[in-house]
Amino acid sequence: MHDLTVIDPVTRIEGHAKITIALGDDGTPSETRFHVTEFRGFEEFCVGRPVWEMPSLTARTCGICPVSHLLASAKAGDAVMGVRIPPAGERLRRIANLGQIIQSHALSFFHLSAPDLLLGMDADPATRNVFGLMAAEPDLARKGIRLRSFGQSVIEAIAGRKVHAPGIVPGGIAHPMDAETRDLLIGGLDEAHGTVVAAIELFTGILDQFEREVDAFGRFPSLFMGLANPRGTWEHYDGTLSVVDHDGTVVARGVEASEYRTIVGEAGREDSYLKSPYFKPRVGDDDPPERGMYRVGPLARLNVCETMGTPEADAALAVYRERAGGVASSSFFYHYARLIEALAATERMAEHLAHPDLLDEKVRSEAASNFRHVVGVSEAPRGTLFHDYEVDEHGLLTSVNMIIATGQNNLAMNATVHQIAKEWIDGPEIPEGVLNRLEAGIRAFDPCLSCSTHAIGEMPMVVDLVGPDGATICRRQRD
Amino acid sequence: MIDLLVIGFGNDLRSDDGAGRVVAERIDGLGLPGVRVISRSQLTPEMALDLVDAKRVVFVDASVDATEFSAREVEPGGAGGVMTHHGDPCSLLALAAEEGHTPRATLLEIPASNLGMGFDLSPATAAAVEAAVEWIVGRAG
Repeated sequence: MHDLTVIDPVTRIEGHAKITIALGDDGTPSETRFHVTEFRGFEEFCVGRPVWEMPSLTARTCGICPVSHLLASAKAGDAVMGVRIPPAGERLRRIANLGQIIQSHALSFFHLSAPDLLLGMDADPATRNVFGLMAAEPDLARKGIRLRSFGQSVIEAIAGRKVHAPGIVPGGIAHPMDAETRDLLIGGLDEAHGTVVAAIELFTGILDQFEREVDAFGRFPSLFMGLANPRGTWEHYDGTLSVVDHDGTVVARGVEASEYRTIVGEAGREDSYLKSPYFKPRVGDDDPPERGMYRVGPLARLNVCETMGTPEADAALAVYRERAGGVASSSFFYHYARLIEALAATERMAEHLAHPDLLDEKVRSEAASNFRHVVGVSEAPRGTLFHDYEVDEHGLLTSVNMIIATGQNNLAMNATVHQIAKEWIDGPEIPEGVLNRLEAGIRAFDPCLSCSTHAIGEMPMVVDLVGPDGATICRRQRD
Repeated sequence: MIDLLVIGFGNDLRSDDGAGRVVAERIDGLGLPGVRVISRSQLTPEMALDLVDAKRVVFVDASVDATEFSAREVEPGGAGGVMTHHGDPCSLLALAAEEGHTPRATLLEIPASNLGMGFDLSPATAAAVEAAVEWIVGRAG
């Protein structure tokens, strides 16, 4: 085996991704690496700023999941003050996060993955996109757009349109909800719910066509981590950290978010800017971080919870677990898990919007800075998000560490592309269908890779096949 | 249907990259009649529904390839991002066309040279922002 290609600093600009497949002497893939860059320098940029600014600042790191950063940051702000937020404030935060889960999962399923799923992994790339989907399944594609629009309207109703003055703030929510807004959101729920139900029917109907992908898209033992609550129901906003093994064994439960460092370590790699968090209790001093590989996000959340906590989603979860054979260990099931979460989100949202305390005027608790080292955590659509802050006596940040979901899936994404390469690479070429499967293996995780800037590019993907002598024998590039 | 939709997009934590949003927020502050403004990090598919409600749309974006402010008409087209969350004006227009209406569309490009962390615009970018605001105001109403 030769040394893997190491990407040099010039290529490590935001928005680029690269897969290097190293062939062994027998001509089959011996190692596969997914290299990526992330939003570098942001944590240092935040040092010296008031902790109260952080929700506004961090929400602007991502155009797809701003609410995740708003929530994690605002919860860190709650902890700095040491306050409990009013019930209506927490309810509104939860509704905003449900709206985000709906819009983000809609984008992932209907616009990024449905072309593969409905038009075929080997379909002509010229039409294997959202426009091809529009042509083949116009009703579905339109419903996907409207579903995402609904989720966006929920977010805007609570978090506001202006990122510089967000509605989600330390201590709760900036403004209470009025009855007119509530009724508007309730008015959109039925259609959103119907779209998700239709998508689940569609997906379960075609799942058997992807038997090989289910087996080869990241089907391996790993740990799964997510937030959990004492009732064992699906959690997306609060609770404690729970970790289960691939056979369902609980390996950690009830870990407070503020104690996440006791179970989460972070490893760096020379070939990627993306950090590789791992489950610390499984990794000794001389062990590779892969020994502590865990996955986060929809797949993990459904493996961690006992029930979804709402009738239709629970029924869907039962079918899901039957199809997965218990704990879902294939990353291909991320798609399915997303749809079940979207279904649960519509049901939960209906409950919250009907709750009598929703319109309470008291939505925010206020206090001065009382605590110096705090952690805010929330479940972003793609997994658990940590904001770890240290502040001085004036509430100015002296240290910031953010652990994002995509990073936590880094080890598993690497293992997934290697599994796909081993399954489909057979010779010195990378056929279009194989290239697409490599990409689709990454897409299953719905990574948020290029949020930090769009002007540089739109994350061209490069896949290199490297021979035993270290020479590149095939390069495929998607601009 | 509104007369003019202005969509400024970019990352406003990344210095010049946020120029499109600076333009959008400047236009928003003017309160021009018949003009709606959207300021976002990136273009996403549901924004096609906003395009359907507009007679004309102006996209404002930062570009590292541009050397000076420019305005050019854009048409529906493109294949969308392959595995990204990003859209582009042509793809968004194509989605709007599928929804039944394609507004006349112009892309204003603002030259960008500094994409480091920060809020300040470099001098050439700041000058192009002024030109873009003037261009839009001249076509509003």
